[in-house]
Formats: sequence, C-alpha cells, structure tokens
Amino acid sequence: MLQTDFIQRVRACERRLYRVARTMLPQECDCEDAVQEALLRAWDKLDTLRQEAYFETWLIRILINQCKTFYRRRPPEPAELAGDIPQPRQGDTPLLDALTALPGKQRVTLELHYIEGYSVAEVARILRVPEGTVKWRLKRGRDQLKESIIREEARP
Amino acid sequence: MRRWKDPFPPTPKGFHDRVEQTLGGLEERKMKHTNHKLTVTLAAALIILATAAAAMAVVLGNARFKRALTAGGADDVAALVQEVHVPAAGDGTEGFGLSIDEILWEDDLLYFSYTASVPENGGRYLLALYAPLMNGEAMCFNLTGWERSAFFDDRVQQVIPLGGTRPASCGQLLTFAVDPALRERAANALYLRADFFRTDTDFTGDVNGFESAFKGAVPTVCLTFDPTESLKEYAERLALPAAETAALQSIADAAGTDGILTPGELSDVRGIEYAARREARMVMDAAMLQQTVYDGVEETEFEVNGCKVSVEDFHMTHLGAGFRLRVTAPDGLSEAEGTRLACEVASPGENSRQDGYQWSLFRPDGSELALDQGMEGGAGFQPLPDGTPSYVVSYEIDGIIPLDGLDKVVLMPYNIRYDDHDRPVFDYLEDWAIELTPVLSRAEATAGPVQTLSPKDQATFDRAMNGEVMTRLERRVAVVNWQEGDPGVTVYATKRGAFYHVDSACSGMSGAHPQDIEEAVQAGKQPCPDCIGGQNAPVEVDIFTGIPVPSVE
Repeated sequence: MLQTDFIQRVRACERRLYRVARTMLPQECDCEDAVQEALLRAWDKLDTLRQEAYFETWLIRILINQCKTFYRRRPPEPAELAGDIPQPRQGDTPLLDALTALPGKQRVTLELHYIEGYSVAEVARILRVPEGTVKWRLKRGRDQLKESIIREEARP
Repeated sequence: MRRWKDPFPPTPKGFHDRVEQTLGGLEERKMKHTNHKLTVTLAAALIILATAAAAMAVVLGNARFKRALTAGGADDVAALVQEVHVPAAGDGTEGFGLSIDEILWEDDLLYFSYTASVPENGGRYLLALYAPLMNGEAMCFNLTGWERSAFFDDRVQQVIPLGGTRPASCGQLLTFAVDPALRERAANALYLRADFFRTDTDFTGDVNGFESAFKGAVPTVCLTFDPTESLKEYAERLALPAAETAALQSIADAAGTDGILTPGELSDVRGIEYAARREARMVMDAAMLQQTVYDGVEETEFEVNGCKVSVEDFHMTHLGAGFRLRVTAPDGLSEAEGTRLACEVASPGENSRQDGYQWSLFRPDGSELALDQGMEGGAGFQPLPDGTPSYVVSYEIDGIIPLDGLDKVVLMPYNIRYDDHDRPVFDYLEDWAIELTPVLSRAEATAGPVQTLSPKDQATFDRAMNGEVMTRLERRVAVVNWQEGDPGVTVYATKRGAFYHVDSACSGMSGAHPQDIEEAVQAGKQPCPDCIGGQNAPVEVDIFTGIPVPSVE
C-alpha cells in the first residue's frame, strides 16, 4: 500500500477511530495519544496486512490493542468535579453515559456492532474472539444498557 | 441489524489535529512497505505452509458431550447427567483426556467447565471446540482463558494449541446465555463437540501458525448431536406442519450416512424453514444434491472500467455458490495508477467512501440468489508475476438456491446504505452487471430433472421472490373463534400474562412458551389484541413472517 493510500484510508475512517478510542478511554488526551501510537504502529507493520480490503478492521484492531495498553498503564481515575457546573456536552448524552458505564468488553463490542455497523463476524475478527462470544457480549450489553437507561429515566 | 444513531460528540479538533500531525510525519519514518514482491513471497510462503500442514494434520479422536438438563438447582442438574461420551482409546489415541468438571445453571446463565489434555511426549496438538448447541440452537457464550487461541467460523469456534512448547492440558469455563423458558422444558440437551488434531506445524509464532495447521484438516468422524431428537424438538417448537418436519428430516438424511447434522448444516435447515414459510416445499435428496453441481461459466473474461476481469472460479449447488474474479489493470499505466484503477473495480467506492460496494451474484430479475442468503468474502491485492497490479475478488454465498429454471446469473456490485430513518437502501452498479451462464459439471446431470424447490403455487412463489407483501387469513381466525372441542392450535403465553399470542415475537413475551390454545383458555387467558386482533376480527398476516399486517383503508 502506498503512503498516499494509507493516508487517504486513515482519513476516511478518522471518525470511526475516534469513536472506538473514546469508547475505550475516558480521557480525550489519552485518545489522541492512542490513535497516534496506533497509526505509527500500523504504518510500521503495514507489510503484515495480508488483504487491503481488511485495512480498516485491521487498523481498529491495532487501535484497540493500543487503548488496552494505555488502560493498563494508566487505569481511569475518578474525574474531579468542578463544583456543580455541568460540563457542556454534545451528542446523545444519556446513551453515551449508559454505554460508558458498561464493562469494557461489552462496551466496545456494542460500539463496533451497533454504531460502526460491523457484522458479528467482523467484530469477532477485530476482537479476536469467537462469534458466540460476540453475541453473548451483545446480549448482556443490551440488557445492561436497557436496565441502566430505565433506571436513569425513573430517577426524579 | 439496526445501527444506532451516533451518540458521540463531534470529533474534537485536538484529535483531528493529532491524526493529521501523525500522518504528516510518516515521510520521516522508514519507507519499507511499498515492495509488493515481498508481499507476494510472504503470501506464497503461507500457502505452502498451509498446504503442508493440512497434509500432516491427523484427526486423532473426538469427543461428544451430551447432557440432559432440567429445571432445578445445581444439584438437580448435576444429578441428571445422562451421557458423557469420549470414544474409547484406539491406535495412537492413548493419553488424550477430555472431561467435564462442573456444570451449574443459575437463572439464565449456564456454567460449564471442562479439562482437555494431550500426551506429554513433545508432540504438538490442536483441540478444536465446535459451536455449542442447545436443542439444535447455536448458543451465545463467553469463555475464559487461552487468549492466544484461534477462531474460525460458525462451525469451529476455537482452536487451542496444546503440547510442544505449550502446556499439555487446558481448562476452560464456558458460560452460556440460556433462554429462561427452557428451564420449564421436560428435558434440554446441550451438545458440545471437541476434536483433537495432531500437527507437525510449529505454532510457536502467532495464531497464523495453528490457523494454517488446522485449515484443510477435515474430521473424519462427525459426532455432533442427535438429529432425530433435535429436529423433532425443533419442529415441535416451531409448530411446523408435518410437511416441513419431513423436509427437515430429508436434509438430515442428506447430511451423511450417519444422519448427523453439523452446525453448518443446521443453518441449511433454517433455510428450509424459511423456504417453507414461502409456500415452497423441499424436494431434495442426497442424490440430487450430488447431481446438480455447476462448476464453471461459459463467459470467463470481460472488461470493466478498462480493467480485465477473469472468472477464475465459479461453483453453485442447491446449498450455495461462490466465485473468484481476477481484476487486472490495463497496460500503459504506472504501478500506482494501475493499482488504484484495479482496486476501484475490485472494491468500487472503497477509496472514496467508508462503505464500498461488493460483488455478488443475483438472479436475472435482480433478486438475491439464495433464500436466507448469507455472504462472506473480500478483495485482496495480488499482483501478477510480472508486477502488473491485480486484485482477486472472492465471495461465498450460503443459502438455499432454487436452481429450477435458473439458466443465467448476474454478477454485479452492490452496497447497502442507511437512510435518515435508518432504513437499509440497496444500491446497485447496474452498468457493471455481467450476465453469466452456469455450466453443469456432469453431462448426466442434465438428463434428469433439476429441481430444488417445487412451489405449491408458482404465481405466489414468483410474487414472493419479488418481495411483494402478501397476506392471507391464517389460522388466527381459528384462534379467534376457537371453542372447546375444536382442533388444537399452538399459541404462546407467559405464566402470568393476561393474553395468549399467535406471534411468538409479540410484545411482552419474555419467558413465553408454546402451549395448546385449550390450555391457555382454561388458564383464563384472552386473545392478544395486537397479534390476534380482537375477539371477532379475522387477521391478515404476512405469509412469510406470520406477522399481522395493518389493514389499508
């Protein structure tokens, strides 16, 4: 793959990379570091990519590994609250909050399947787990997400 | 699958800037990834490795776990073990062990642990764990440990390397998500299967080593589950008429001399159920399955967008189809230009969109080739020996393919996108459509009738194939007007619910189980106003899905 192709294809999936990184790491600065490491690693290891058609899933796999490394190196710390001042946020906050509260494995599986649109088989390939495990995580994740949202909505 | 709306905030500028900054710095890093010859050599080496490994891999033995489970506490479950079957040791199988350690059923979670071991003689072995099934249904599961194991497909879910420089034994805890309604059944059967393989391939590198070692090694014995029991239960659960039950059994008969279905074959059974709902009846036997085999096409070379497209492989049977195309760039272009052009033909739109098109086969009227269709494949860069840029496009299609009267198929790229309401929209590159004439592999096959699906009503079937919504006043009328003494009808209800339903996917059905209408009425339940439609109104239902269709004023 030529450098121009590499750059073009990375740019095409930048949004996807952000969502995956953000799913796994709570801090924006960590997401930036992780994606940088992942891109450099992907560039260095480009000759291990056997089929260019799988570039995107391959890159996401590298990014997930990188995020795991970051997570191990620096587990998430409780965020410091600045008084009662709410943080300005965009996007579907309740869903994002509920998603963020899920265990890591279920969170990333749901993200890849329902937000990125990868099939169960593709998610299995990215995460290197059997398809049955992906289905399991989707089921448990959906159940927990539902419970979490219902609980939140019932709160006065 | 419905995709969720993106809940994330817009990509922060800092993230975007970091990506651009990183991409801008690539020039400074070593440029070591543009040599395609290296890729070719590597690919060739892998192919040789895989071929050699397949030849050396030997099936040593297999084991079948079968457990009958009933409702109750863990002790009850443990007491109800009916069978744990590990084949007796034979030549070369001494020293292998496979045992169930513990099994617990708690709410909707079933825990199952096992231990497997191979002889400690320095030999390298692979343990292939197949997809677990309960009552013939593939199960969702989670498993522990052995992160470096490989996974393959629907059939083989995990392959674990044992022996050699690795430990000679392994243990895993599998956790299954079980439908709570199953607890109420008189008996449930859980089937797990594991095969041991011996291999001479060194899998100390990464997973590719033992992936290659396993691929191509076909187990000679297939002991997966008891088809008679499972198919019967399957048919009962779906309340299928006798004809469909017989159709299911015909596939079991065709599956092999031992009459045992593998999980892959089970997916064909589901295809038959789907076909049955389309008013089609299966006429299929083992001889016919072997007879109707297409292994080529008359037209083998085309020009698409300036590139040469060769059909290197084409095969089609009643149960699936596949093709391999080679897309080669025209002469006179630079390597970069040729690569880009060939890539555009092999994966149209891949360079400019997130979701590119993919090639597939269609029926001449543009409908999908197979009922209950599934597809897998992709495109890969494989330059010709002289360096000419070239891509190989390869896809496999699964599903029941009605071959009767199918003398042409259409090869065409398509794409699925989602509109603002998250509805799937199919796009086709009709300008690139290529019509192919499949060629039967054996002359004698043309002598007999080539028939897969024999529609009960051809006009209905044709309309069904065109996707037209068709309705009929089904047995729901019988459900609505049912009186004591009338023939029984299967309905669905929960223990405490006020209604009984004819649609197993109606709302509020968690924990519902099939029962006779008489039982539901005697329990004081009323017909569901949603899926049955009230006391007196006959209900129109979609003949494919069985779901009530709203009446149009």
